[in-house]
Parts: sequence; structure tokens; C-alpha cells
Amino acid sequence: MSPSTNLAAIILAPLAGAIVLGLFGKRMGERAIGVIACSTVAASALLSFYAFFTHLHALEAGERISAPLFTWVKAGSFRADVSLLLDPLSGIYILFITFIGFWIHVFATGYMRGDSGYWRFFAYLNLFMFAMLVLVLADNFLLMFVGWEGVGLCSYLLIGYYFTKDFANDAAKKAFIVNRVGDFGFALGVMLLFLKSGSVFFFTDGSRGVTGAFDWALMQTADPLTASAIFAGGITTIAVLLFVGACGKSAQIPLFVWLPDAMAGPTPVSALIHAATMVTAGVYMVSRASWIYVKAPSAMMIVAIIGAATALFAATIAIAQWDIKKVLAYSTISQLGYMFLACGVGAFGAGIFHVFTHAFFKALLFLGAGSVIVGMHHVQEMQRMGGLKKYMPWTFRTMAVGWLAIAGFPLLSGFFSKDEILFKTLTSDAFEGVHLLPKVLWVVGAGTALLTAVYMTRLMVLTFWGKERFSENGASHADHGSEHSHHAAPSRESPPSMVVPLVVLAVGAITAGWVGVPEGLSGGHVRNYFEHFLRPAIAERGQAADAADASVPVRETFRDAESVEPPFKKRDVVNENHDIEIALTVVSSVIAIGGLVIGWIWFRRKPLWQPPRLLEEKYHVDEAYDAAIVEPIKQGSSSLLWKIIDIRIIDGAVNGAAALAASVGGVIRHLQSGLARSYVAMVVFGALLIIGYFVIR
Amino acid sequence: MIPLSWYLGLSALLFTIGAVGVFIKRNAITIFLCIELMLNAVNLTFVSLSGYFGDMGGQLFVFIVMTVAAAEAAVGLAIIISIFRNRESLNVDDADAMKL
Amino acid sequence: MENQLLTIITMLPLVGAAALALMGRGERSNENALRWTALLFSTATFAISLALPLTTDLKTFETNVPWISAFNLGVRYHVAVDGLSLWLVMLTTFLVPLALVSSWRSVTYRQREFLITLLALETGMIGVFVSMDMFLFYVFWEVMLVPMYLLIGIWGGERRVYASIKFVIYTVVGSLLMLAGIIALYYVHGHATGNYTFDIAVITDHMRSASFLSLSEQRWLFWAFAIAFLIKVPLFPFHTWLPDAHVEAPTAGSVLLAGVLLKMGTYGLMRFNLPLFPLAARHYAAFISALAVVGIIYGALVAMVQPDLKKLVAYSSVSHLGFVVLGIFSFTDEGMQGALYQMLNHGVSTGALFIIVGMIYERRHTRLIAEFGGLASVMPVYSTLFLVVTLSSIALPLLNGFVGEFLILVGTFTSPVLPNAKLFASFASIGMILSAVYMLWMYQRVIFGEVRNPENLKLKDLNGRERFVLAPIIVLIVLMGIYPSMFLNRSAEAISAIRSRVGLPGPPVVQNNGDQPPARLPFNSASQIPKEP
Repeated sequence: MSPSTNLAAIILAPLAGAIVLGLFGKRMGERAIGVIACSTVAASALLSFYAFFTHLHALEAGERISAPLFTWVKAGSFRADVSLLLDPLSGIYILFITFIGFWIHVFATGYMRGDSGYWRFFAYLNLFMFAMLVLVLADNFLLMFVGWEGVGLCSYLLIGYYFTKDFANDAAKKAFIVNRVGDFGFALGVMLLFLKSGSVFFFTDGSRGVTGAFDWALMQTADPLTASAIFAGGITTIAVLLFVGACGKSAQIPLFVWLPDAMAGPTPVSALIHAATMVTAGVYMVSRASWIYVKAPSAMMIVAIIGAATALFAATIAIAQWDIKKVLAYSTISQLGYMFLACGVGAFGAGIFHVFTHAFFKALLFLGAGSVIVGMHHVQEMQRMGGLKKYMPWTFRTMAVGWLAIAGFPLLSGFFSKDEILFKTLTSDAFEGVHLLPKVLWVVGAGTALLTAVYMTRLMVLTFWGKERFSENGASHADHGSEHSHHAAPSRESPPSMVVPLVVLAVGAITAGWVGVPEGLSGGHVRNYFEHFLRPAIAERGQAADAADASVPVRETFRDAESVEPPFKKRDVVNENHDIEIALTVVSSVIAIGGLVIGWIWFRRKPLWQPPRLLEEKYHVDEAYDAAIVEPIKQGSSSLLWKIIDIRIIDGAVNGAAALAASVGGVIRHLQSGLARSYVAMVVFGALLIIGYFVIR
Repeated sequence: MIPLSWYLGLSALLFTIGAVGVFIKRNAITIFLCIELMLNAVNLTFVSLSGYFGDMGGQLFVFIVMTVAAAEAAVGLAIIISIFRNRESLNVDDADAMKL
Repeated sequence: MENQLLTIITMLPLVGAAALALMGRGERSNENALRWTALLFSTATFAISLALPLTTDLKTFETNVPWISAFNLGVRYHVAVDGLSLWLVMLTTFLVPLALVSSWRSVTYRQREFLITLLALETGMIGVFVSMDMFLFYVFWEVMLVPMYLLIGIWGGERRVYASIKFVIYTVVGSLLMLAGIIALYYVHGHATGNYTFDIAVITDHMRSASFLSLSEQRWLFWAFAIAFLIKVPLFPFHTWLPDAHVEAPTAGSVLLAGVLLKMGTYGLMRFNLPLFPLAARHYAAFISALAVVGIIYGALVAMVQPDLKKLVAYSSVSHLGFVVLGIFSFTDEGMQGALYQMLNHGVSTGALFIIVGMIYERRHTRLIAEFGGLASVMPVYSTLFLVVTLSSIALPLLNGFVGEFLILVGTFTSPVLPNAKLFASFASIGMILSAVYMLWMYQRVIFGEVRNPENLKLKDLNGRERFVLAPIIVLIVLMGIYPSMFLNRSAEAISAIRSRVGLPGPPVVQNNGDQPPARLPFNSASQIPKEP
């Protein structure tokens, strides 16, 4: 199989599934629908694995497998192709997207059983897989934007899946529009990039005659770390604008408001789209554009600060939520903040590593929550759960794995990635001249890690331990679950179609971290395979100067970087850091275990502890946005623009002109008396005037 | 031979009679006759000047005017008759609106 | 010269109209015969017009013969298509049969006259796009006005008289200015070159080789043409006729009004204003772009708060057409190609939106958004198709709207000529957000939620005829989004010819001060057009 066919088949398989289900699904049985939906994703997954492992050596050597399909848009000097790119970064992404996607599909066949829109659900889900794969496999920004908006659309459709529920529709619309605000930045960033570099392609490909924007970026000298660089219209501006897009998609401050509401969708959707894959697209894009970011230290600083702030902010909200899915949603926002923190300090590899591990344990947690919700007959408030351990043993066991993984319990996946991020943050040299910042960011990150362990413990304790509170009325805290206010008793464990994916993901949540064991833990003897593998796909600081001097084609640069030691990190510096790394690992283990213990003691004793109102009500951000942005726009458009400017002023002027003509006509009309003899008099008078004129002249 | 000025004088007199008639008469038929009078006054001018200058153009024009006058008489009388049918009156001041 | 295909395409609908007028009078059964006849003629027109894009050399379709030679007026019957008009002609022939079928049952009185009017309108619209003689252009421009006036005035809604008169007066004010401009251009050109002609191609060619217009002449003539076209577009603040006309017009009228008539304004700008008055165009580009950006945001904001579906779509047209104008005045290949593409997109998408609104209006006889809600439960097919069109209208990638809008924004952003280009593009991009706001909000209120109004429970989903109307549009929406090269490649050459007149960075191509007398052209332009024996 040629690479082009292979890559094209990866994206086309789910699309075919979506089309078949969309057109004929209505007349199919649930079983047939499930088989089609899962098999297309399975095919895509197998093809992804095939592509990845056949090209593994090439990828390790820094080669890019490119699959040009056809020229999409071409006008003037602007060109964008439908062409796919397999490199380490997109390779890792397609692996976990299709793998986790497949298991979530399997889970959903059980979760959605009996739903009237079964076919619609799976058509959307397949369409989502298509869009997400396009996003990560695209080899230019415009095609990436196709996937970018495509996942946004599927997210819209799936959040609003229960379309008779107003809150679901509002949430769907909110998600799409907030994402559009981000896209606004993204689009402007791409345009500015095109203006500067003359291309929207990532990398140069001579065979198609395209030059790469990143190759242009490589040649640039880095902008200084100043605020003015942000508005200078240079590479920093590009980076900041692109980050606005990432903020929208990955729910960072100030555009995070849509993600908690997005939980209105079915739980598998929350797991797949709003935890494991789509929301990490922002991180993907920033890492993909690392070539640009490394030249824009101001933008990096913004990314790091926003990421850290979001991580802490969302964690504080998560601790005060009662809806099990809301807790996980804020936890997702918080973890995404972590990933951006990593990107911001220049550790793109660590960010991607966290994306990778997070995908496993967060999907697991969401699916577990889904299993709980099904067991509880669609009750989502944790006040009304408790003691579920004995009813749902497998759900409990697998979720416990996810809980420990996200808390950073030693040797589980989250431990490695989080540890790596904290280490890279503390030792970052990305912000020259601002020495305090890495330390502050580290403190914030560590504090968030502690909070994470605490609120996840709260979730587990409230759900699985303690006394059974099934009949208690927690509706006062519920925002939309209140229609299920009947007494819900838990049923038995969920069916195998739901439990098996949980087990698979639990295994992933334990082991996913092992592909990227930090070098420091082995004293530098074992390479961090994950980051080493990613290295050709992402840029690092300092790489620029060499390449710019030599002005050699990029591809060669990588080969050199592979044979010689990386020019940008001196070996001894790394060695020196190993001691710090080991020390930090101990610190993070203590934080994680400490958090678990605190949470355990706290919430075993007072499970229904009343959190501060401000946190429970999410700092009133939604209300503030409503009052400051939404309402003024609506009111202004309606009463000022439409009713005054349009109707009064513009139409008033037009109709006024007509009225003026009419009134002048009304006066002159009286000359037309209808009396024939007065007309004759006028004719004669006129004739005399004319004759008189000629006579006098 | 009668000098040209006499012809022109007669013509002017006839024209004035016609014009004044159009002004002061209210009967549509009378007004109509007055218009004919004015037309023929002009015809007289044409003919006399044609003879004076020896140019046939003037006499040619008289024929055109006579043709037009005949056509006008036909149409005009028809209109007058239909006005009379509708309004039972030949007073032009009564017919000051297109609709009844 | 032998190829009369364009004449056939232009006149066939008129022949159809004549045939309809001559068909025997009778009762209801006869009405169906009338409809089928009209459909036959318009479909045949579309089928024949398919020959245009299938032929590589568009020059073969050119017809150029003297028309009115009295007084040496030099009026010629010159029809041709180029990359600029090709797709607009196709859009017209594509939309008319669909408009016909969409109002198959909705016209309850004067069926025959309705069909005749539609077909006459088609002739007028195609004529405008293929005319290469200003006189002929003006004739078709006015010809097209009358049937549209009748469509709104006879088959319109409650305030149809107000709307139709407003429409006519707005348009006529502009077109009289244009007439004055045409005559002035004719004399100035004839005086300077000795060749009195209305031929657009000849005059444009002369402008290309040497300017016979001083800057001040260009400015006056620019506005004479521009006002006519900007009213037609309609650009803010000339837009207030549009919501009224759309709300009152019957479905077929709205479809053609939005789908084709609005494009005549932008087409005219590209055909006349840019190549003929490049200096003036560059001089006023910033001003017009500013109006366009205001229109984009203003139209979107006002669309957002409309209670009436048709008004919402009408205001959204103001917003979308603002993009087109912005693209045209970016003077870049990307922007102008995008503008042309956006014209087609808007024709297809907004035409479809009006058809969709018409379908629901036929069932409920109301267009108030508040009357609906929850239609997804009772009309699933309708909801799905509506969604696709909505998404196309908010420029979702892989659907048609995205390509045009993005090219326009890229073109504007990178424009070397337009001052403050980045600022304009940035503000225009806000329109991208707002379009999602108003379209999705509208869609949500109409389609989603519970069925609250019991009237809506009885609604029937689309029947075969209605699906048949929307199917080709949906296919086109997807095709244009996935493979735009098919369309863009055909127009590239014509667009860059226009662009090269105005779009070069640095000093403009044509230098001529107002003080100097216009230069006489060195060559005898009579040789440009071979005279018929």
C-alpha cells in the first residue's frame, strides 16, 4: 500500500461510515449500525497502526511521509492542497485517536442502546473521527482548518444531540460560537502567516513546488521578549493569533466557558471529543507551529501564563462541582492548561506526552462516569450517589485506575507526563530576563497537581464510597438533571460492551506513560523515547541560528541532528539537570500522594462538604459574559442599529425624499385644474413669453 | 393687386377671433369651431405667403394642415359625443376630471 | 461569429414566455401544462448553457454584429462570455428552473402571467451578463427590472406595493446615473479616439493602452456607475430596499433577487468600474471597503435580531455581499477570485435558504421565527437539508461558503494597494463569528427544542418535488466546497486581467493629470472591430 492510499484510507474509512449511516442508517437495526460505525473506525485504527509501524524507522530518522491528493484552493499566489502528512507528531495523534476512538465507539453501542437517534449518533461520531483525522494529518493550515471547524461542527451536533432539550441546544450553540471566536484569531494568524511567508503549508515540498511556512520561520531571527512585539505584526503576532484559536478549541481562559456546558451531550461524546481528542487540538496546533513559537518568546510567555492560570482556575472550580461530568469537565480544562504550560515553557514534547496519557485516563474516567450514570438511571449529581463500589465493581476498579493516574500516583501514566511538565517548567530557559517566572509557574503547577488529587478523590469518595444517598434530593444543585428526580437505585454492573472498553483504557492509563519515562529517572541511561521520537517534528529554541546560517534544506538538518548530538542542548547541562529531575520526581510523588490522603480524610469525613459559593457558581464568568457582551450586542443591534439607524435614519431619509416629492407634487398638482380653458390660457401665455423673448432680443 | 398686408391682417383677425372664442366660450362645439377658425387663419397665411414668395412649400403645408384638421375633427367630435353621452352637457368646465 | 449559442440561451426563455402567452386558455388542468412548458424552456436553457463551461475556448461564443447603425451611433449586438460572466450565466440558468419548481403550487392566481414574468426575467438576467455593449447592457438591465417589479408587485405579500415601488425607485435612481455615465463615457471615448462605440471590450482595451480619461473624469464616471451597482449590491447604506423587497416577494422572486440580481451590482463593479476607472477605483477603494466592512458587521448584527425569517436572510445578504465588495476592492487575485466565488456561493446558498423558508411558509403561512420550534421532530429531512444550507452560509470548510470567504479575507489582508488592509480584513473576520451567531440561533429557534405550537405538529415533511429542488443545490454546495478549482481555474485569467489594471503596488498604471487634455490614441480603433459588409 502506497503511503498516499494508506493515509487517505485512514481518513476516508470513517467518512464512508458517516455517509452510509447518514443516508441509510435510519432503516438499519442497532446492531448493523453499531457494526458499521465500529468497523470503519477499527479499519481506520488498523490502517493507522500499519502506516505508523511500517514507517517507524523513517519517522525516527526524521522523515516526513507526505501524501498529496489534489489541489484544493488556488487563486493568485494562494494555494492550499488536500494533502496529508505523516510525521512523528501526527503519527502519535492518529494512533491514540483511532485507538481510543474505537473503544469509545464500542462503549457507545452499549451506552446509547434504545435511543431513537442511534443511527444519527453514530453518523456524527464517525464524522467526528474523519474531521479529527483530517485535522492532525493535514499538511497545511487551511486543510487543518477544515478539520478544525469539522470537529467543531460534530461537537455542535453531538452536544445538541438531545435537540428537544433547550439547555443542550444552548450549549451546542455556545460551543460553536465560542470556538468561532477562537477561529477568528486562528484565521487572522494564518492570513498574517501567509502574508509574511507566502505559504500556508507547513513544510517545503519541492516535488509539488510548495514552500513551507515553518521553513520561513526557521530563517527568522527571534523576536525580543517584549510586549510591543505582540502588536508589531511579526512572528510574535502570528503566534499570539494562532494561540487565540487554540484557546477556543482547547478551552483556555478566556474562552473556556463552552466546555463545561458541552457536557450536555451524551457521555461517550464527552469522553471522545471533550476530553480525549478534540480539545487537545489546540495543543496539537501550538506544537505543530512550534517552529513559529520558538521565535516568539512573548507569545510563549502568554501561552505559559494562560495555561498555568487556566490549570489553577479550573481546578478550584472542579473541587466545588456536584455534577460528576462537570467535575471531569473542569478537570479537563485544568489538564489542558497543563499542556499549554508545557508548550509555553518550550517543552512541546512534554505537552504532547501529557495529551497522550491524558487521552487514556480522561477517556477512561468519562466512560466510567458514563457507566455510573447509566447505572444510576441518568442521575449525575454526586450527592445522590455513594457506595456504588459494591454495585459496579468493574466500573469502580477501572475508574480507580483513572483516578490514580490523573492524580499522578507514581508509575501510572499521569505521573510521568505531569512530572515531566513540572520539571521542564522549573528548568525552563524560555524567558530570558524573567527568572522568577518559571518558579512561579512551577508553584502554580504543583498547587494544581495537589488540587487535582484532592478533587478527584472527592469524586471517587462521593461516588463509590460512603453511605448510599440514592433517595436524597440533590436537585437544588442540579442544573439539568432535575427532571430525573425519581428515586434512582443503582442497577447491576454495565453490559460487557461498556465494561471491556473500560478495562482496555485502564490498561492504557497504567502503561501509556512508560513510553516516555523521563531520562532523569534512569540517570540519563535510557532515552526518553517519546520525546526523542517527537524531536524532528517540533522545533526547539536555538535551532534557528544554525539553520539560518547554513541555509540548508530543513530535511537535511534533521538528519544531521540525528547523527550528531542535538546542537541545541548541551549534554552536560542535561546531566546536571538529572539530579533536579529526580528530586522533583520525589516532590511530585509526595504532592500526589499527599493530595490523595488529604482528599480521602476530608471527604470520607464530610462527603457533603458545602464548598464556597463563588467556586460552586464558577466565579460567575458566564453571567459576566452575558452582561458585558451578549446582552449589549443584542440590545444594541435591535434597538439602535435596526430600529433607529435602519428604520428611522436610512429608511427615514429614503421615505422622506419620497414624501418631499409627493408634497411638492401636491402643490403643483393644483395647476392641473382640469379646466380646458385654463390650459389654453397657459398655452397662449407661454407662447407670448416665447415670442416676446425673440422680439425683445 | 391686393397687397400682402391685407391677407395677413385678415388672417390675424380670424386667428384672434378664434383664440378669443376658445377663451370665452364654454360650449365644446363652439370651442371646436374656433379652433378650426384658427387653423384656417394659419392656412390663409401660408397660402398668401406662398404666393408672395413663389414657394410651393406653403401650399403644400396647407394640405397637411387640412388633413390634420380633418382627422382632428373626426377624433375630436367623437370625444365630444362621448363626453356628452356621459355627462349630458357640452360645457367644458364640467369636464374637469378624467373620471366621473 | 457563426456561433449563436449565447443568443439562443438569452432568447430561449423569452420564446418560452411567448409560447406561454399563446397557449390556449382553460381551467386548472391547463395550469399544469403551462408550468411544464415553462419548466421545459428553462431546463432547456440550462441544458444548452452547459455547453459553455464544457468548451475550453469561450471566444467561440462571441457574436458581434451592428445593431443600430443610424446616425453612426455605433450600437452593436455584441454578446460574449468570459471567465467573469461564465459562472454567473450558469448560476442564472441553474436557479431559474429551481425557482420555478419551488413555487410549483404556491402561486394561486395569474399562473400564466407569473410564469411569463419569470421567463422574461431570465432573459433579462442572462442578457445583462453576456452583453459586451453598454447600450445592450443597459437595455437588459432595465428589461430585468420590469419583471421583478411585477413579481413583487403582483404576487407579493401584504406590503407588496410599497416594496415594489421602493425597489424600482432605488434601482432606477442608480440606473439613470449609469445611463448618464454610459453616454458620457461614449462621448468622451468617441471624442478622444474618433471611434464612437458602446463596445465594452473596445473601450476597456483603449483604457488599457492609454488613458483617455483624466483623473477627475474618472472620478465622476466612477460614481455614476458605482452608485448604480452599489445600490444593486446592496452596500450599506443603500440596503434598505432589500429587506422590504425580499419579505414581500414570492419565493421564486426572492430566490432570483438574492441569487442573481444582487450579483449584477458586483458584476458591474468588476466589469466597468475597475477596468475603466482604475485611478478612481484605487482612490475610493478605502472608502468603499470601509462601507463594505460596516455592511458586513451591521448586516450581521441586524440580521441577528430579526423576528422574520426572510428579513433575517435578507440582512444576511447585506453582510455576505459586503464580503464580495471587500474582495473586489482588495485588488488582489485572491480577493477578486474569492469575490467572484462568493457571488456564486451566495447565489446558491441564499437561493436555497429562500426556497427553504418558502417551503415552511407554504405550510404555515407565517415566517415569524417565534411561531416555529421543534421542527426537527416533525420534519427530519427538512431539518437536515436546512442544516447543510445553514452551514454553507456560515462558511464551514468543505462547503462552498468557506472558500470564497477565506479567499476574500486573505486577499484583503494581503492587499498591497488598499490602505489599512489588515484592519479591514480583521473587522470583516468578525462577520465570520457573527454569521455563526445569527444563523445558528435562527436554526435553533426554528428546528430544535420541543414542539410548542400545536400547529407545527401537523406539518408534513418534504415531498418528492421539494426534495428534488434542494438536491441539486446540496450537491453543488458540497462540490463547490471540495473542488473549487473546477470553478476558479476558469475565471482566473479574466480576473487577473482586471486585477492587473488596478492592483499593482506602487504608482498606478495610468498616469494622467486633470489639467492635460486627454491624449488621442495613436491607432485607429476601427480596425479593432471588423465592420460587416
